[in-house]
Amino acid sequence: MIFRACGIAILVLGCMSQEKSILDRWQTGNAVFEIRITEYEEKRLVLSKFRYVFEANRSGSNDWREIMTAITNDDIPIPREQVRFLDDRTAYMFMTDKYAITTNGGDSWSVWEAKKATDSLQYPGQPFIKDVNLKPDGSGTLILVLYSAEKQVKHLQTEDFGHSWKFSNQR
Amino acid sequence: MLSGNGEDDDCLKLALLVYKAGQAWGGDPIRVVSGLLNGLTERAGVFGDSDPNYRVGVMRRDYYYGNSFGSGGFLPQYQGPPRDNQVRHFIAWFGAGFNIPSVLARQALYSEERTSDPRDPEVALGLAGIQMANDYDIGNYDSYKDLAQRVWREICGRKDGLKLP
Repeated sequence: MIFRACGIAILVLGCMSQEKSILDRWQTGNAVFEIRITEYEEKRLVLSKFRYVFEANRSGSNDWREIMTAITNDDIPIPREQVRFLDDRTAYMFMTDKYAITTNGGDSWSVWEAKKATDSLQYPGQPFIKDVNLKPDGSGTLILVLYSAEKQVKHLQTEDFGHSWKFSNQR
Repeated sequence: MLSGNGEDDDCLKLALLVYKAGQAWGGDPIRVVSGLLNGLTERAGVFGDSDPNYRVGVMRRDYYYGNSFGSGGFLPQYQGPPRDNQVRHFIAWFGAGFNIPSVLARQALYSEERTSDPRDPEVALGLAGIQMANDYDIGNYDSYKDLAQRVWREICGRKDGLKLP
């Protein structure tokens, strides 16, 4: 009985507090702007989650601004290959269900969330961006995998650097 | 090595690890569950963290991280995005179901996953772990054998019996 009462107390406390600690950090950039990703462990009652915070900064300054945050179930390496510069002013990045793009040297970012885009589907499952391919003219493709009892693969297309994505019929 | 041999058999490893834990701790359910939590997750039980020097495949900086575990061999409804360690996830929720009342373990699961939809792979696996913990016969020191077989059948989806060493 005492054991169960302790369990209840811990559950309540565990849900209320989420201790965070830095696990890893990586930084890249060009002459105009820099991007860094910091991985945090977020302790929860039963399983930790892992938070990857993407930030940008004018090169040479130290004014980091958050772009987006991706959360994973496990401690995985920072996805360096998923941060891509197309030229001095254009870069995009993606992780889990998030995608972000800048076309003005990091002054502003547009963030696209696959989860919101798939809300209209009957049951989307866990959306996961497998790959993005963007061309300098702003056209591109995105492969989205929806994890559920019946895994689905969706192909999306953009003509505006990924500010918006549309489902395509490609299989 | 328990993890990282590149084979698509993470679920088989889970079933065998359950069996091995049963053997190692003489079938004592409390010690078996504690051993699984300490060896395969970051938690030591209801209280505290596991020792990073002894756990396997949990955190990248751990000595025995290897290539961790994945979701190979798990039924499709339990497979999450790439690099999800479903061995860790199953054991964590099995441990939660064992250590705290099932109703609270389920609420913790829904809270941590931010959904209660059983079609979500993490929710589905967590619910299966909690249910198996609830059914685990703590008065029977041979029940770990049934648990290993049940993991093999219901989590890995295999119809043949688990061949035990």
